[in-house]
Amino acid sequence: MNTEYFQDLLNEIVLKPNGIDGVIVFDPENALSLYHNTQYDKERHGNEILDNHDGIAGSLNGSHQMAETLKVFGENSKRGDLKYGVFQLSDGILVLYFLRIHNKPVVVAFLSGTPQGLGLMLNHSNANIEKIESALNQLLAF
Amino acid sequence: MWPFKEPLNPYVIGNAVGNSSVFVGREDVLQEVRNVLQHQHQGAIVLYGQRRIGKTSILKELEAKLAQAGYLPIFFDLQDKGKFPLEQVNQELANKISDKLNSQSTTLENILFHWQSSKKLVILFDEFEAFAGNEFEERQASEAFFPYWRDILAKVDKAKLNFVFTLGRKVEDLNQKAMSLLKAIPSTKVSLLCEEETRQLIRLSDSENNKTLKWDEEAIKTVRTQTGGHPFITQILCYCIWNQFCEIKPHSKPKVRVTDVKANLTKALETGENAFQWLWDGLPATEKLVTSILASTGNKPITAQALEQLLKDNGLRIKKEEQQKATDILKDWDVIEEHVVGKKFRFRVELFRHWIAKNRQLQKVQLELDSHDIMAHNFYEASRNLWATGQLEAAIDNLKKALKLNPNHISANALLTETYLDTQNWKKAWKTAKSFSLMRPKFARPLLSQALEKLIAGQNEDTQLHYYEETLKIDPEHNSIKQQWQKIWQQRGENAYLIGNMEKALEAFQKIGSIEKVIEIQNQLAQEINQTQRIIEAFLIELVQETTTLDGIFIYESQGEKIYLGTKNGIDTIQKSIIANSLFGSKENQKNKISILGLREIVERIKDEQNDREFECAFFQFATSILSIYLIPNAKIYDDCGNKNEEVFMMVGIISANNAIGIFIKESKKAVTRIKEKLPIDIKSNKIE
Repeated sequence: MNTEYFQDLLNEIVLKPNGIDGVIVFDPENALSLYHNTQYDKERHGNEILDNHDGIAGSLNGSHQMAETLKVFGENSKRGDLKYGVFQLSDGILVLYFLRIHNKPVVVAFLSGTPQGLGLMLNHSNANIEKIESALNQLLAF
Repeated sequence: MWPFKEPLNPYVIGNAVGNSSVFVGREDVLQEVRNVLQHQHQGAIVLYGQRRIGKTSILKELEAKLAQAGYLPIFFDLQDKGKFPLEQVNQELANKISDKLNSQSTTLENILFHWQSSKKLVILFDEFEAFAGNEFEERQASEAFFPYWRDILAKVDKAKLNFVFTLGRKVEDLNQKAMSLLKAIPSTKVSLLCEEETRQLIRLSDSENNKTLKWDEEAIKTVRTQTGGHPFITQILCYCIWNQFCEIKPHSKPKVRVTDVKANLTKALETGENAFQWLWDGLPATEKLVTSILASTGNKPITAQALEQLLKDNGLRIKKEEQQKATDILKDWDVIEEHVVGKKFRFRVELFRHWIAKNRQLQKVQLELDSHDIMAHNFYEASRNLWATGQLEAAIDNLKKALKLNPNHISANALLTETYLDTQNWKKAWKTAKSFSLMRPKFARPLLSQALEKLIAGQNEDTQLHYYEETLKIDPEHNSIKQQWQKIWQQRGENAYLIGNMEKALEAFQKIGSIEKVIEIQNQLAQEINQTQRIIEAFLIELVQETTTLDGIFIYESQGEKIYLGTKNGIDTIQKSIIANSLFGSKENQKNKISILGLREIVERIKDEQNDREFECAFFQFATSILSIYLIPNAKIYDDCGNKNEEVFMMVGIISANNAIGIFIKESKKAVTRIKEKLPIDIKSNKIE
């Protein structure tokens, strides 16, 4: 697994008609993006949300701590593992997966530049997260 | 009639048996060596295995067999040479080769790099790890020895020169220098004999060369059960059995039966004392402790979990990884085996287990480990004398030195605690007892109690609690300390209960796990729930019950930091407590953003950094439920005078066990709209407008 291959994987996801306009992988502790797609669908939505990768990583700084809290809640209330979180915005959607890669928190965010189409987006983000996680396990190994 | 004038015991328990009719089996190992010697580019092989497993015998056998096959084998024993300078060792080896060639003495380099003989030279190094010891001289010698031989191995012509090394440990367990030489060389393990080889060994007294005994089949099986095919231990047991029958020169050939084997076990343990001791000495410290515990449980296989419990019951605190490593090493060294079914451990050599159970009980092993570091032990011995003559400060000095060299010295830890107690240095006594407890909690307990009792005497209750809690962190199973700690909290809980301070009482009883009291107080508190709570929660219950998918709705309000919850089944204090503790937690958690309130800040940032993009809601998908969170940043509530002018932050959480996310979103949005419509909530005057 190399970065180029991973980049291709992210690009491939956003180029398909699946409601996903962007994918960002970021380090929530340091609020920095690690990887993101570099190609876009011609009819992409919400340009500014998709271009501002570090801005999104910055906004979601510390989100892993909130996810930890939710994991505890899931466990204590017997509701099971936290699978993902969704932020519904006035003009977009963020689907967030809170991963631990080599014991460090990593967040994968699937972005949509429109507030509609959550169903399709969830369907495709769920289908791709395993591939992304497995690739990150290799890419982020020290 | 007895066939010999002087009957001969065919079993050998002293010397290596290679190149004699007593050598049995090992064809697999010999074949491995042959393969390497015939190979064009592989010039060396390592044979490794536990002590007394027969490595030297194999080298001796190779020495004879290789000579017959046209090689020039040189057996060279490195035992006791570990502290010699390299030049001296090399010269001894050179002389040995020259003697064999009947030529004049020359340097080793001269021999190795100018080998003229048509015969291939094979140097058989025995005890090669003699240079990998830890003593200063050995370390110094290894600095020169291993790099020298690495260089030789790289340069010599492998068509003319080959090497066989024996090691009493695995290549990976050697020091860096030794490993750099041997890691690239193929290695093969010399293990216990297989069933057929063991049988052949046992029947040395009923073979072509020696017809002094007959063996009952069951007796052979019993020998194998007892020795596990360990060649040396098998010889010891058979040697004793043979002596029992043949020393009296019987008139007919006696038959060995199971009872005879069993009758000779004790004798074998005595005869093999030195060998068992030697095997034991080869085990590292943790492995000795694990082996001692395993041996004490008899010959029934036990699981890793049972072993862990046994270690704990015996007061040994060995980390799980350390225990795993120890059992792996013991398996590697053929001391124990792991049954595939049930993954249970048991000894491979039952006689060795007997010897350990009899001679190496846990307490003895711990004292033995104390004396491993000689310098540390000397300091300890000196301090004992000083302590006995009342020179306590000097004793402390020596004990500190002993523990600096060997922090695990059990007796030094114990004596230092005692000496601090003698000098009335309670705090130091307590601290030392705590360190001691980290290693051997069971042994440290009486001293830890004593030190703690002295340390907290006359202190106020808060200080006492602090020290109890600090001590219990180290040894949570220290029952007497736990009881005293519980007694204080029990008293505190009862006092608070009497004066009606239910929150304090609840906290105290929760701490000591007094379930009945906790339930009693929680019920009382539930009855005392205030009117506001009832009204708000009744509204939430109604909201939930109107929907098809929602299970519960909670509201958190920032002013009173209160949580209101309505569920499908009405009021649910357990759910509320889970929400309060898991999602909102302590104030400290909230301050450190380790709570769901961290979402508020994230939303603010999204708004700031994303051009005033509005956050509508978040939802979180769990394995069996969905939780959605809505924020109401400026909910109005009434002030104390009934004026609607205070703005508070509210968080609304909606939970559903139905994973149909589409319906859930629709219903939760509707519920939030209803809550917003009901605002402002009059918290102070107990009503909803």
